[in-house]
Amino acid sequence: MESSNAALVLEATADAEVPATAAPPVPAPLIMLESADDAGVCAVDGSCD
Amino acid sequence: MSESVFGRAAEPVVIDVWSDVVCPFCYLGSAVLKQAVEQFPHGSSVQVRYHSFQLNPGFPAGGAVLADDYLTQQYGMPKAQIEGSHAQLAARGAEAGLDYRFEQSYMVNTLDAHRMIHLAKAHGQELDMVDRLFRAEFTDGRNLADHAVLADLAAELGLDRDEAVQALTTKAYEKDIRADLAQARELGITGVPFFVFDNKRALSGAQPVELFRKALDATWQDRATQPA
Repeated sequence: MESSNAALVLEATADAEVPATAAPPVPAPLIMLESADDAGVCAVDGSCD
Repeated sequence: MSESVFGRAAEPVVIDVWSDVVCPFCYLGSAVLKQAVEQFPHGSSVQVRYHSFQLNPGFPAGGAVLADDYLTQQYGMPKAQIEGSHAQLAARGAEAGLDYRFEQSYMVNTLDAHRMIHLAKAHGQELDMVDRLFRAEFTDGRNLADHAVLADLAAELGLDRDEAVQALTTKAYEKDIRADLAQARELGITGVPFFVFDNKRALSGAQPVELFRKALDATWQDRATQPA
């Protein structure tokens, strides 16, 4: 297992086209579920409604 | 985790919760979520994970003001209005088994309290710590900016008090807290409590138990129908 990982690293290093760091994954949009309007939320400014 | 003919349904449903310990609706939302999970037929296959979110991140570290005084000073809320909204929330809380005593709750900078949650998480006691901090804030009238109070709460849960003190004095878990806050921004979370089911469906606010149940049912259905 260890040797196959090492091989992968070597292949990646040898390939000049491979970027040094991969782009961070873009989170998929969340599906907001239908909710009660007066359920109660507190905002970052400390206000609660 | 081993695969089965039921595919991904064999894995736990993960509920990621963003909340703050001085957020009264977060305490209620947490209690109602717990009820929903207990009612859910597959409740033993649900994993709840808490993430840090800060109300008033600019509040002076170490400071503490009675929450009622803060609301009056910061927002100019009349005392009668504060008492009215507190009474409504206290009634909802009582239905969920919570004992809100708003008159003795403090507004503080919660960064250190979040350190205690991450410390507890490292010892597998995250949910107990979240619950204890909420109760300390909203029922016991404890000052969650006070290191001695936080260390005592950690010790109460069986954690090493010295380790808790060290985490507070060395500002431990800063990276984890910042990562939680950054993830909240990425997801567009502007208010708490905020609940994400299996990284797909989301609920905002202290919703009624029926809505949490619907979210759990829909998420379980997603898992049962998706290929492994």
